[in-house]
Amino acid sequence: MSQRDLPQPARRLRRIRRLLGFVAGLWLLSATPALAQTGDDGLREKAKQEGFQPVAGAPDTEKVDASRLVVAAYAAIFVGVFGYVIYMVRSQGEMAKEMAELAEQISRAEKRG
Amino acid sequence: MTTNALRNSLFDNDKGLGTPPLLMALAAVAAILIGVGAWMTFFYAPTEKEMGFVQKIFYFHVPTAWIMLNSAPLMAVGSVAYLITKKDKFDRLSDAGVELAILFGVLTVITGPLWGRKAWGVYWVWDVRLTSTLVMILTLIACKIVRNYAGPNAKQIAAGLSVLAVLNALFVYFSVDLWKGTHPPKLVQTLEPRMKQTFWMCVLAFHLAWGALLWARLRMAKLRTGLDRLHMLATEAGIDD
Repeated sequence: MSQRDLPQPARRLRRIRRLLGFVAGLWLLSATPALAQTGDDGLREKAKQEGFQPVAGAPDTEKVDASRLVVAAYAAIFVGVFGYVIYMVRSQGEMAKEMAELAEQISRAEKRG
Repeated sequence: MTTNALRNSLFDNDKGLGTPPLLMALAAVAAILIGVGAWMTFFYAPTEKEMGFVQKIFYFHVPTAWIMLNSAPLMAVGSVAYLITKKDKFDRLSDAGVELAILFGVLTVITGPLWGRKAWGVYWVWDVRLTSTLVMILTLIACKIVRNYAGPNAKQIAAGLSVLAVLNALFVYFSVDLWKGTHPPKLVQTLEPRMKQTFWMCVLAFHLAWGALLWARLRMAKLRTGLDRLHMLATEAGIDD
């Protein structure tokens, strides 16, 4: 049954239900990170009391993949330079079009006398 | 103006629309040399001992930064000469210099932080050279905005702004010597021979590309000026809609 076929109170009820469903969905989404927290309750309690704690055995520095950075840098340069070349070619194309239109207008004016 | 005169000027400009063979050749050589530079970067130059693979960014980052700075004399000559003479050709020179400085400046501040992420652990530090480079790029962008939207005196204001950007370029160049911040100092002379050859190949390739882009940009600006004038004349003659 479509929304229009329903009487006014039933329509209102359906809207309220939808709204409640939407709010519940939002709540579930926001609760997901909290629900995802698992692990030792004792550790969690300790972390709460002492702030951030280093994980034993973790490397001192963060490992960054150099090849990704190098590829990103070179890609940026090629995209930038070739993008600029394309921009200039397109601009020149537009000017050629404008010039052709102007030539057409001059020809028409000449024919008119 | 008669339609004949208009037609003549139109065809003069029309001829000018074809790309000159020398410009095509210059662009082709630049493209080939950039390819050679990239090949040398990855297959010829040795990997640096301390920084490792990420040092390869240096071979393209430094030439782009140099081009940004090398555009400054163009802007200086163009802007000052335009402010004195009010001739359009100087304004076109300044505008082309500004546009290329923005392009290569943006590439510099993209590639530099990618290197910094590995070398310093962060993408950006408010070092004197980095900050002054950013200020210079923002000034140049302001120049372009002013030129397009500031009305009748736009060219004069843009010329003034680009003189400011040129002064900033001097500041960018000398900043590593004067303040000795986080940014590495000038170290080209200390490079290992194969690294040095690769570096100079990239410098040559990028400068040729810059030359080709500058030439194409100046031609385009000249055509635009000619076309605008033609439109004006055609309107006066009652031809243009």
